Amino acid sequence: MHDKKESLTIDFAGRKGEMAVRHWPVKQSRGRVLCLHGVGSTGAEFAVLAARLNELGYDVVCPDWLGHGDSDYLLNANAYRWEVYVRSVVVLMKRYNASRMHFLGVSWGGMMLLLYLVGSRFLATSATFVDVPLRMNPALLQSTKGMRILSAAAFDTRDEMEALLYARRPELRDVPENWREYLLEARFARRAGKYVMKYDEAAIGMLEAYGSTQFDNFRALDRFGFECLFLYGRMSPFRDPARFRPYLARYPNLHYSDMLDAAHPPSLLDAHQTAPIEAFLEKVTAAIEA
Amino acid sequence: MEQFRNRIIATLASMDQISGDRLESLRASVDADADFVDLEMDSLTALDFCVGLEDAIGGAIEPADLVEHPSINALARHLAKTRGAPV
Repeated sequence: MHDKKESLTIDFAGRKGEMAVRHWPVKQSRGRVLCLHGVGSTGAEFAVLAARLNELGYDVVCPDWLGHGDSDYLLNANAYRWEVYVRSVVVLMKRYNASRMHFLGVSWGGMMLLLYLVGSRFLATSATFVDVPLRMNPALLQSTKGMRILSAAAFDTRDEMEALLYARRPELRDVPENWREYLLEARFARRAGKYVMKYDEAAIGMLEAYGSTQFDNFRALDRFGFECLFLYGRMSPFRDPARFRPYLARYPNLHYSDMLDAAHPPSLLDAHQTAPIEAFLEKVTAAIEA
Repeated sequence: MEQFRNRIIATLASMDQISGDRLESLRASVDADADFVDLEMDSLTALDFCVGLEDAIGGAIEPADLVEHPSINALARHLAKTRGAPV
């Protein structure tokens, strides 16, 4: 699938963890896109989007957060603090910074992206937030219940594991055939003779802890001087048009769409779902290249 | 270390998100070794503090630094050890 596997070391409180990174390079880049996945997923979920963006000339970098996919598991909920995720992005940026730097974060990945961008004061070329709750929402905690069911599952056969995954995420059945095996391989691991999901259950704990706080990150929108797209599926419980409205009126660089025809959470695994992201990046890039 | 400690307290005191008794005790330096967690900063406030402290002393301060050095004195000690005098 033309991705290069790389690895970066995250150092936190005297402990080190290796973060796996999938890099889809292009020969002549029109910009780099760093894609950050949500809890319970992996960077492989961006494969379809990465292929599309490669065709458009964008270099794409997709890490597996610590506790996910091929990255090290920390096996302790406290080790997955939001501060560690933000540090992970700092480390990623030391390695992958580019003159035209676009970011994309899905769900928890987008929440961490937002915090990184506030704390680093990094002047991004653009940022796309997919299905990202900007304030406390009970649906966030609800989503962790499904993750716990998946993370507790252990089956003798991969078919059983697939059946459970499809029952929780039916839209994954619609993944183009040529990508399916790549994505499933990234989702499943073999441990003690059983098929299990490839993420650390402890990582869910910190999402629950953060999601339990009365967080409200809307004021971060006052700080972003670059092009930002907030994208939500029609069915998303995180749609928040009334709260966005005054910010959209004040800041022309902020864009909001909650009409994505997608399941919840959006999978970004078909051309229909990746199209608004491609269009946004192309608009931003065209303005620079004009 | 004292210079860093004073700048940390000054940065905290300048933040309007931290208010009430905690701020008063910080201003009076009565509780100058407060744990950051006791200040009950949300994530954006913690980031604001990091950004404010960066402006006050130069260099990068990450929220993870506050977890690794979780009190005013611990952070001041760390900064004194790893950096020269504040800018």
